Amino acid sequence: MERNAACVIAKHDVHDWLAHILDRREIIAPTRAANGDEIFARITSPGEVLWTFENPLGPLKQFLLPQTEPLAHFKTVDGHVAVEAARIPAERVLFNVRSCDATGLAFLRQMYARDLPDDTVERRAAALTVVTLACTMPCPLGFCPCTDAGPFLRKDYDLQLTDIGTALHVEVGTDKGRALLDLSPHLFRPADEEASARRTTAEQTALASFGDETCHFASAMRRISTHRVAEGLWEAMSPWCLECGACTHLCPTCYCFSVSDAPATDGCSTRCRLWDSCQYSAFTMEASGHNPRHASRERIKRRFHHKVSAQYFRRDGRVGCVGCGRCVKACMGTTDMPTVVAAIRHGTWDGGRIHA
Amino acid sequence: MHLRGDGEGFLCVEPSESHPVSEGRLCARGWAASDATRWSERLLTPQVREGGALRPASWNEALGVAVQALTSLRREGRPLGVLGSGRATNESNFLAVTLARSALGTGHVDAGLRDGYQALLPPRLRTSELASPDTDFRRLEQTDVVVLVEGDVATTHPRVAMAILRVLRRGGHLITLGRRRTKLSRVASVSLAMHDEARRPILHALRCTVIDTMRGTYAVAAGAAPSALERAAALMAPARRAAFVLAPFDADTAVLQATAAEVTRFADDLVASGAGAPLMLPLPIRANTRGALDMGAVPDALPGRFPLDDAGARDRLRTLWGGEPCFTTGRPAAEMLGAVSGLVVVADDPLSFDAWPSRAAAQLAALTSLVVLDSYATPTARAAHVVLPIAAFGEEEGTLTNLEGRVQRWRPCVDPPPNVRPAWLVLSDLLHGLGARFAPRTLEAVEQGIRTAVPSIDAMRNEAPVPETDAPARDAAPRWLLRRDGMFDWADDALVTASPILRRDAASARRLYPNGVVMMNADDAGSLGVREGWRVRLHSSMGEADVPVTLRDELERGVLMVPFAHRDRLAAVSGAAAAIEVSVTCV
Amino acid sequence: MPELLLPSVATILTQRDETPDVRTYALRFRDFAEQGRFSYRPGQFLELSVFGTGEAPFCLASSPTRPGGVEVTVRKCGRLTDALFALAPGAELGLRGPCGNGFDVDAARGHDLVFVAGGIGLPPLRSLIWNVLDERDQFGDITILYGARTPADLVYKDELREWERRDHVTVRVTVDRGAPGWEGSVGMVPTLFDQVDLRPDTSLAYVCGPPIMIKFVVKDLLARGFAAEHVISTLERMMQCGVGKCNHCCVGHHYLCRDGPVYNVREIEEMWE
Ligand SMILES: Cc1cc2nc3c(=O)[nH]c(=O)nc-3n(C[C@H](O)[C@H](O)[C@H](O)COP(=O)(O)OP(=O)(O)OC[C@H]3O[C@@H](n4cnc5c(N)ncnc54)[C@H](O)[C@@H]3O)c2cc1C
Ligand code: SF4
Ligand code: FES
Repeated sequence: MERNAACVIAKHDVHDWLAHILDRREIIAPTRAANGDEIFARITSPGEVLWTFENPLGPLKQFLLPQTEPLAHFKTVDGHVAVEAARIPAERVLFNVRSCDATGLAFLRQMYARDLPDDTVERRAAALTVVTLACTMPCPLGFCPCTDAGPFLRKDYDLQLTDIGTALHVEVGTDKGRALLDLSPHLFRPADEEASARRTTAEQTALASFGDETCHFASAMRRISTHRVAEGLWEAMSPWCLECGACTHLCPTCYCFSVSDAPATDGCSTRCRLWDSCQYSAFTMEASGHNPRHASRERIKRRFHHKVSAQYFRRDGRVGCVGCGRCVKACMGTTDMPTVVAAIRHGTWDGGRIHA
Repeated sequence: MHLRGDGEGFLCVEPSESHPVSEGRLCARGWAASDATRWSERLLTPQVREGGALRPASWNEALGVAVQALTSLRREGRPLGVLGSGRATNESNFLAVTLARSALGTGHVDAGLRDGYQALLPPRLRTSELASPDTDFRRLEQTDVVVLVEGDVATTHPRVAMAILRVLRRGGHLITLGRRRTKLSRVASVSLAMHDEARRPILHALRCTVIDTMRGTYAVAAGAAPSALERAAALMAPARRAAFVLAPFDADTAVLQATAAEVTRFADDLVASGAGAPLMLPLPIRANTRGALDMGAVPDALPGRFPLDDAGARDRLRTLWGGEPCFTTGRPAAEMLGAVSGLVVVADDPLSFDAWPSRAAAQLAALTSLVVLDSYATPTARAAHVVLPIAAFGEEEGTLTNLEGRVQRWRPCVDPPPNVRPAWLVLSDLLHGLGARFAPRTLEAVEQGIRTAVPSIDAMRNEAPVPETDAPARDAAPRWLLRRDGMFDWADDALVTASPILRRDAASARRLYPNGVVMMNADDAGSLGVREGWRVRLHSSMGEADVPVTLRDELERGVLMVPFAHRDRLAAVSGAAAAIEVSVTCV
Repeated sequence: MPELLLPSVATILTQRDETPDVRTYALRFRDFAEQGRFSYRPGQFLELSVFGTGEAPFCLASSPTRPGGVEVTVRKCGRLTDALFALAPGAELGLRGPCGNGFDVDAARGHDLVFVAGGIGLPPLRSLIWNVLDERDQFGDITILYGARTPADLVYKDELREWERRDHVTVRVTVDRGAPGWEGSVGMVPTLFDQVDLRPDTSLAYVCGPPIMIKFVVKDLLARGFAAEHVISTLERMMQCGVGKCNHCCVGHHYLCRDGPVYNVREIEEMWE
């Protein structure tokens, strides 16, 4: 499938293609909300899709791992409890997804598939088709080249689109992607050499424009993995985290959750999986009241151990960061990924003035 | 913030980048905003009390019972009261005030937890200036020195803490005055430890030192290391623009007002000495405390914060409401429960904020009629004679006024449960039943009414300045001071209790000390020979009680702190007082 | 039910009060075939659902050598356990599991065994003890040391007596604070070590209880010549999913709900966060 399966679609045909998809599937794409925000949301006509946009702050992961996900309904029928698995939404196309987010989705899927597979997540993933729009320009806060998550993808997409001028270059990653092309075969033609060359140039240009200002994980990882980050550093950082949980909620690779039952309304209660945050102090609070991560510094340390340690890198094959820059934007304080990684490398904390 | 439904009644929160206040940032409670609709114990149907127990009723019946009870109490000349709320929309608060002053003819109208906030509004800021951009977060972020008085703002008002951290990142300074170590006191340039009684003298000393330093008439003694106060003054003197952030703290109104007056004088002196006018930001506890205040849910002012005798405001209300509304001063929330026979509570739980909950519970139980409008089965709702279930956050439209004075519109994103109505509509039904002329049938009509009563925020007039009261003089520092911890109680915030993720903290803390606890400085404990978990006997002029202690490094010596959640356990010693002298013995 | 996080329905067969706030429940899957398929190891735990309230982990307190149902011993201490205590025999609840690694019973064969439990730490050891007693000829001498705060806090009082009557089984019980009528030992668990014949070379020691008790007991055992690999304990962390997904139970990169909660002391010493 790879290269030789690549094709192109003229930009003026894209609306027709989207219309064909919309006839059969729900499409989630970057679009403009009433208040002007660019968000991922369901679109109802091709014109609503944005083609130049900053990656929305709201995480795409909510379509794979919703903030509140019903897992099962418990109904009482004739004095007996019936456990009913929750419905999985119908097939959806995630359109114009950025490379970092596609990598994040693949990572989450991997986390839920490894060891004991979680079939709910697997079924949700199976119902998603991910169409990425390769990044030909770096976004202001992103650092995906450092995390091997962009600007262009080698894997983890169903279709990868690249803007090559008057047309979109389309790479097919999976059969699910192929199925979308088959909805309007007449709109696509095989990519010729020129198109392929443009695609290659676009990638090189994009990579080159990231420059050197990036996030250097390697030395931070060495220190974290060998327990050589001074305890004082975590302590110094901790007042600069306001424990809002935004970093974990928005992070494309964070997947901590808790399970809770929404109380019965009509004799039917619903068991839900809810996003949780390791930055909340009660995350590890035990029934006895004992809390192994009582201090804020312990929790910050935990977050970065999970994301940037060799122990997890060996297990998961990547750092727990896709370089999307969301935590940089959303952190109420300054303990976002690049700032903390830099502090670990330098061994000092200065309240995040570096990025100020 | 965007709230989005998933079609099954579950919501998802998404930060809004274009929002001028949040700029895409949300605090933990913002993130949990989606939980309240599903995880709290919702009130799903109207109920009336019969034979001592609540039973489901139709809307018509429940409204009828409420109207009849209130009408006959009024006819008998018995006192009635209405509590609005910092949890309700501006529209609901305005109708709550309408209910009180127009339909029930009473001045007893207030909103819980309004008291501390209002007292901290320096008098100057009680005027039209409140509406000026002076209180804008962005202005706060551009100041050179922030003086933070009291409180763990990182927990209670993370957005304000974020603005303060930004000041620090830009090279500005933070001076904290407070009684315990907090996230912000740890990053402060100077942190002045103090307790209530020292607040005013320290502010006063700081003011004098700053002003004298600015005038060049003060110098640190040669060869001596500068004291904390002198270091603070040295940071403030050259500042072009300072900010005073007054976090909510729990003290008697007189103490609060004295603090506010001191800060105001500080600000005036700074201006007189040539510095820019400082920004002053008192922080309310509830999301819409500011709005409740502006809408008139206070015993001593009219909507728009006009004085009760303001002729223009009176005329506008007469036109809108018809007849002769009640323009007398009523009782504040803290006194109301014990002073009325009939009470309407709109979206709040007085038991959660009253200084002496068991007394408040007894007072509620003694009411002839208690009508509660709420989304959740709060203890107050359980004590009601009539329960009217209203829509929750995310289910109804309305506006809230944030602490900067921005009026923000909320739009519904999920349907309320089938038999639940928006609060404004229920209030309108009550008004209608009571024969009030202003009983608007649409939200637009409510808003039009607000516009009539408060033609424009600029038209607000000066209120009489608050009389200054000096803090009571003390001969010597008390050996022990027993005081309540800040009145923001995480465990009583609706967004916390409704969130299965957030409520764990509070629930566990309460479970840890089921019999109450006082916090004590570890060194004090050492000298008393007391260890973690041991019991001490506290004795005050009011009475005595035994409680276990838990040791805290961040407390200053000589102070015992009662967590707000446990205040009732120590009511025998302190009653409703925020601070009281006690003697301590080991048991 | 195939889904990883979905519970199966089970019925409360019987319940027995151990202390005022500790109760042992006998449970059976509603589906007979499922009960038949259900197999587990001592030391593993179940996720128990009270429908409409939630889920929490509880150790299997019964022995796999006694099929037909499972037992858990629960201390009432919060939302979920309150709701559980409000149910009566015949009521339905949810079970999911077994979770965790459990004790390696095969590795224990041929050894003398020392069980040291504190308070509510006895249930997981009870599972192993019955397993061992039911396959008595494959194990050496058995020593059971058990401590609780007060005589009223002792669980499985009848069984302690029954174990004591078996051959080559030594049972010693102590309480932190005596009470009228109590004639046994008073003192912390380690004081019992001097009352029995410990054989570090041939024994495996299993320690369960509150973290602080585990700490002292382990220290004492190591000082008495036990190899760290031969002292086996369980770690406690807040748990949610029990299947290695939710990240609540991590210590560093170890997931206590998957690779634990049973570890030997060597492994525990090497863990860090
Ligand atoms: C592996 C394991 C085995 C356990 N075995 C037993 C047992 O055999 N008998 C027994 O009485 N107790 C046992 N516990 C502790 C038991 O899970 C808690 O007592 C129980 O979760 C308390 O729930 P609650 O809702 O009543 O309390 P709450 O504190 O009100 O519950 C709050 C929530 O926090 C979670 N939680 C709180 N503390 C813990 C904790 N320590 N571990 C996991 N989740 C927690 C629960 O999921 C619960 O939903 C065990 C815990 C673990 C981790
Ligand atoms: S690191 Fe930043 S985004 Fe994350 S919880 Fe702390 S303040 Fe919030
Ligand atoms: S309990 Fe969820 S990962 Fe272990």
